[in-house]
Amino acid sequence: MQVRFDLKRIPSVWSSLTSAERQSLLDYSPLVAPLVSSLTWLRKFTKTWDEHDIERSYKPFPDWQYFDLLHHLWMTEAKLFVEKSRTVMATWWGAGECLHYVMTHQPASCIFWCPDQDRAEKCIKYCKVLYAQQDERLKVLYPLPRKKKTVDDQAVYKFELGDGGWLQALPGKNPDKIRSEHPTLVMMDECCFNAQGAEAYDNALSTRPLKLLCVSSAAPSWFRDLTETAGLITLPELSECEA
Amino acid sequence: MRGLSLRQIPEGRPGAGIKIARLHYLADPTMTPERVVALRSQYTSDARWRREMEIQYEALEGELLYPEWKRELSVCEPFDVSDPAAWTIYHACDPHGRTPHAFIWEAFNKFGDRAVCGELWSGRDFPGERFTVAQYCHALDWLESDSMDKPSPFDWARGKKLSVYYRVMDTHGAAVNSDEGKDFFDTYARHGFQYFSALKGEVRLAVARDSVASALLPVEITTGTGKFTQARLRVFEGCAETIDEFERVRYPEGDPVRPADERPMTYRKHLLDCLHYVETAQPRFVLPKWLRSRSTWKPIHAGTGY
Repeated sequence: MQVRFDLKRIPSVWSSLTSAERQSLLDYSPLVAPLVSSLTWLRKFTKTWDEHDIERSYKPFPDWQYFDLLHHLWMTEAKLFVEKSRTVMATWWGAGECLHYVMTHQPASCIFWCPDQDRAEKCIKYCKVLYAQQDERLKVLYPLPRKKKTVDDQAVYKFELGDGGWLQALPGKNPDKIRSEHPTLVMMDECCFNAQGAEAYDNALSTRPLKLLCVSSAAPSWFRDLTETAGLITLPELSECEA
Repeated sequence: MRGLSLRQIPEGRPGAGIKIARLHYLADPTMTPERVVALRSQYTSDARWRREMEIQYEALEGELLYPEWKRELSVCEPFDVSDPAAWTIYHACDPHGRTPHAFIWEAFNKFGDRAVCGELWSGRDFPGERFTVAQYCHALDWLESDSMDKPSPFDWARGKKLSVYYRVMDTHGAAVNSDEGKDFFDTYARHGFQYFSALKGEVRLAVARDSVASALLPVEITTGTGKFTQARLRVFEGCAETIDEFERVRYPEGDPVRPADERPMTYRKHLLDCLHYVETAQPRFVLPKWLRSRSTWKPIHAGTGY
């Protein structure tokens, strides 16, 4: 007897499956792995865009170990802060995690909150690149809305998916902007450079998102004040992250 | 793991329980020592490198705003920048309620060179004295005219009319009620000086500071007589206040609570503010329209276009 699975439903039920069931699903279709693992999707089923490399602009997401740890923290923590050096691809990683979650859990939603509109729209741009560069079979599985069939048909500040998922850019100038929204995910980028960041963060918390990711390079700010007292704890083992 | 560590906010503190991943560039396996050295050398100051790459939040505290400033590379004898075919002049105003207003003139050429060619800061020569907008405008008229008796920072421009391409003013000018009009934008406009509002905000001003810092870095220039080094941004030696501010303005020490508090505060810096306002206007060399339409090209065969 042939059993048919609805691939779209797999990400929603994945956490309730036994390891044997998971393995059988992974064996059932090569598309299951990118559906249930954002890192697998980022590394093997889509490409990022390197604006500095004009010869080979589109590249797979790097296979660096720190992304496995970050991914593990993203999966296990409801609120996660990332303080970072420049050029470590943290924004790409965050945008990738958010897009993957929204795409595979529609009608989920996400707000990218940055110090200004340009930076917030950059996160949307990253999402559009990741969507457009992904495996065609995944595009078929998660199509764009009927009236916005291509990435170019979409607004610069918003990326919508066919089953009701959306990601939107929000400038951080007005911390009250998020009050009318109820996003599933909130990603705040360059938090240290958002003068209204503390209020924005509190307002974002009030909307009770499933995940709140704050990423920033260093500068004296509310982000620094909040994190300054944090004490060192042990990082999860890499083997734990892969499990 | 190299370059990645994890911290957690303790109980009883705001944000208790939140985990903070610290992602240092050394986690990136492509960051070889050679690449780090090369990258570090591109930063305009070690403090900026430490903040941007080493994740040191307070790295800029007490630092000079422009550590890349070197008097010998930037200060120069005045030269003529009054020809609109060669230089485009931008002008900025930093108005205040009680403090004197500050003005700067900066010229840009098509090769990317720029020169602070004039300043007006009455606080230096007339401390404690307050002037009206009408008086400032009278002075601006005079300094930009072809008068033969202009004062020190403008002695190079005696007998030369200055053609200003773009005027920019601190947005504060709209908030302050001038005694002589609705606000400073309005009052200056009524005296014939139409200013545009500077695009402010911490991010834009940070970009402006970076841009000025880059222009202060030395570049090697080859001429018919040999090679020499100078900064892209030069300041005429008569602009004493601007030079003074470049040499003295520092970031504050202590615990700033938000980005705005990280503004350089410890010294008078109105002229540097003006310079930043010019920068937010994305200044560049612009050939005037009347010169663009005046072609010097002559066809070999009249009437054919060839």
